[in-house]
Amino acid sequence: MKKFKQPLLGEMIKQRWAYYFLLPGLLLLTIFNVYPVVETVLLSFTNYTLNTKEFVGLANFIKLFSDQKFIQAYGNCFKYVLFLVPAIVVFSLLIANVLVRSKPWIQSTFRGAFYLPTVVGGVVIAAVWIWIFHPLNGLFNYVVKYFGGEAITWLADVRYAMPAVCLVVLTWTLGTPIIIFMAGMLGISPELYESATIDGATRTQLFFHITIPVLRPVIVFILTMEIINVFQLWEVVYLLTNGGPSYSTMSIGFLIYNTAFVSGKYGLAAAQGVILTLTILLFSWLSLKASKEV
Amino acid sequence: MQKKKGASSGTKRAERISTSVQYVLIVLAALFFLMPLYFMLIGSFREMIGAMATPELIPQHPTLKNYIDLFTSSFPVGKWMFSSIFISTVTTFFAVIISCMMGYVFAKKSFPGKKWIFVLVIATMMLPKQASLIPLFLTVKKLGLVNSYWGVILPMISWPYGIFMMRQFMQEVPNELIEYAQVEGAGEIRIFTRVVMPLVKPSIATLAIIMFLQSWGDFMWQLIILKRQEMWTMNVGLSVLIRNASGGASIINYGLAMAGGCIAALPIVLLFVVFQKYFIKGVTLGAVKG
Repeated sequence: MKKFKQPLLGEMIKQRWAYYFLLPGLLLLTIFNVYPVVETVLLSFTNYTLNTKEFVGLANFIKLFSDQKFIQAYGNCFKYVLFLVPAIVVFSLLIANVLVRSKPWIQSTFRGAFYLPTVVGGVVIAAVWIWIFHPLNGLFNYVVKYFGGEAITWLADVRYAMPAVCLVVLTWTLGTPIIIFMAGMLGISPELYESATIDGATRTQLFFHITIPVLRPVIVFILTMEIINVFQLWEVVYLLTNGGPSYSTMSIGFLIYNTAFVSGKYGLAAAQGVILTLTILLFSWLSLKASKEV
Repeated sequence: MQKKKGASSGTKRAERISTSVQYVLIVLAALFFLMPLYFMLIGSFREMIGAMATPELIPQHPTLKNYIDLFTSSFPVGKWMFSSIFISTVTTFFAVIISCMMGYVFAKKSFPGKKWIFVLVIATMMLPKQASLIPLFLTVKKLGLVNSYWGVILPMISWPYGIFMMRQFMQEVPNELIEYAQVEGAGEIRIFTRVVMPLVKPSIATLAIIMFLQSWGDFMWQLIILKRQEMWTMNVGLSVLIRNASGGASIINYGLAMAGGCIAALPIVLLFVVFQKYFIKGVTLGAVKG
């Protein structure tokens, strides 16, 4: 024991500067990132509100599994993920694939155009989409009526509210994956394509047999990041539909905010947070695992 | 290629047509992406209350009324702008220092426990914000930092992605330079500030830009912490303008919300236009090199 400990301690003292450099950052990380996660798990077993804090075991979780609002929000998040994540990955791959073959000035112009909504952010984007969806004077219904259609209450109709939110999220989040895919594609050696072209491969074949396989680690990265992001979807829902109509667009992220900061039920909100975190970890793990087996 | 010239001319023509179709689609997609921003810009120069809020491609009666209203209303828009700029600048400043220090150590030092500490840092990157939201709020409240800029800034300073990013950049610093400085008798702090930091200057710019964007775009945390109207950031203030426009408010004023949107977007768009290179570098780093 001693023989092992001595050199370890000696090494630690010798490298003490490494620890000094880490200390401020680790301290902040512990207070503001690590401790809150642990505390969330502990809180999820209590009925913590503004005036009580008692251990209640699994009561919060049991309550949630019979809570219609929570079940609906949870289901909505799966809908968001199932619709948005594939759409984001496919669209950004296709757009990047065309742009990457273009002249540099075309590349940078379009990259800028697609990234601009991401730069200005979800709140700014919502400021104009709220008008675009306006039932009487909005842009979408103007177009619909121009072609002889009936005005649609985009954000107040259960059938259209979620697709409408998804559309906004799509225009707001495509920028980052496009840039990352373009960088990945530019890194693929041109010789790979040249030799395949000599063998008579078409553009489509090049895309599916060279681009996609080579980019697989990057695609998995984007897939995982987007799953994490979409499960946390919040501000666009908060600003455009407030979760309605009749909870059809409510996301877990928004529900947690409401439970904690509108209703003041911290314990219950913590339990919702735990379920969301476990779901995200499970899905990230699944997408990693699936990508290794394919 | 020469061999198949005759045989593949048909497919080549098909490819050329499909390429043009692809470009048309890309242009349409880009227009669709920019369309909301365009309508926000022109809408901010129009009166868009009630029946006046119909779409116009070019404003028929351009006016500065929305902007004048915003700055003379009871909303302290100037203070919101100050909050946003102050919070983002201070957060970025400290985040860059912390990320450089930690990134340097993870890239260039070997010490007991390094692997585990690094795994811990990366693991926090995977957890959703909502997982730590409530205790984080209670902690900040205990520290007396609700309604304080520091309540927004402190939790954002130690940013795992930034630490990871700086570690990647720091790996490119040649070991020989550090060793040479050590032989010359320079202390650790001197090596870090005089040798390492100057070598990663462009990377620091990249990190700073991405951190600034991150901090500027934050919304939920600011909404929770900043309760007093004069402390709100642009995002929080704008969200109130939007929700007034959509919710039960008697006067639905889209032009005002759009003018707010334009003001909120202006600083970050300027930054993007000037430093596009750094934005792109910051976005691609994690995925392509990691």
